[in-house]
Amino acid sequence: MKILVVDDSAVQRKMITQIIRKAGFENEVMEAGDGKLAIQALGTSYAEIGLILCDWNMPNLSGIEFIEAVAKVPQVAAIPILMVTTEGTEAKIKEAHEKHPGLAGYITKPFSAEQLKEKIEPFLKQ
Amino acid sequence: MELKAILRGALLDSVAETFASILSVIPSVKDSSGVLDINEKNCVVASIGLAGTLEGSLTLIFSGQVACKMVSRMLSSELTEITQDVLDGSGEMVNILAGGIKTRLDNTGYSFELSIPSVLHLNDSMEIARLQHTEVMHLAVSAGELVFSIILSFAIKKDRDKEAGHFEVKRKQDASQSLRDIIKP
Repeated sequence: MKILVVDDSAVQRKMITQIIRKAGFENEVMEAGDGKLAIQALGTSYAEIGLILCDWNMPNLSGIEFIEAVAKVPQVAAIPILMVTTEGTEAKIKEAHEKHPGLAGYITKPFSAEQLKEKIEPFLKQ
Repeated sequence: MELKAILRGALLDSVAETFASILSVIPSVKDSSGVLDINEKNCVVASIGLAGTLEGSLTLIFSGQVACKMVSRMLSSELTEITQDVLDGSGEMVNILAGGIKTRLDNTGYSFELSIPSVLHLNDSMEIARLQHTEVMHLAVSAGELVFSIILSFAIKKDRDKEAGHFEVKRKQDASQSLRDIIKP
């Protein structure tokens, strides 16, 4: 099962990948630098992707637009998505759940390795 | 509570949380006299704009060496020169710090949206390096003994909620349709 990490910061994508590895998970990690690239990656590999970690503010297509698009496509709508973002206000969290009613979780940056591991573990152990 | 006190508290909390979570250090913070501690030509300037009921910018300034050490910690690796990763990591730091302030201002009546971070590296030869997503316009201005640089760093951010409705609706429709088009056999 693959994990798709969507964030315009290459450093953030690397940090998340390192946390996944150090937590002992050997899943292949795919990366996308914006929502548009994430659409491409998801469209071509959706059968293998079991978890998506997605930032909010990105160029070309934002994370909120990406998750909204995913929620509308039956073949991928059930793939668990965790928002991983600096947007931590109540309004933004509510908006994310409205755009994707099945949103699996929400992690606000900054997060420690332990905090991220705790959030993703349930999905990777299934 | 006065705005300045609210902001100071939010900033201090954001700094403490960010340094502890990402860099695994506890920072010591003190008010500054306004004179920068950095006095070298090799420095990194990371800034992010704030726009809303509160407007302004948050700027981090550190030496090139410190930027390398900071991002080395973020990536658990040894970075000794300014690379795109160092610039990216510096931008991510200011982004996270500003996001922390924004979250802490929730329900205070003050709010803002964030720009995309701008990061400039000014090295010994005064060349300007920048983030991959940003363009930089650099003007050298001189008028007699008045000599200075103006730097405009910008990127098109296309996810503003207030963009023209037609374009926004079309783009949202395109995204899910794009996904369907790729998936269908």
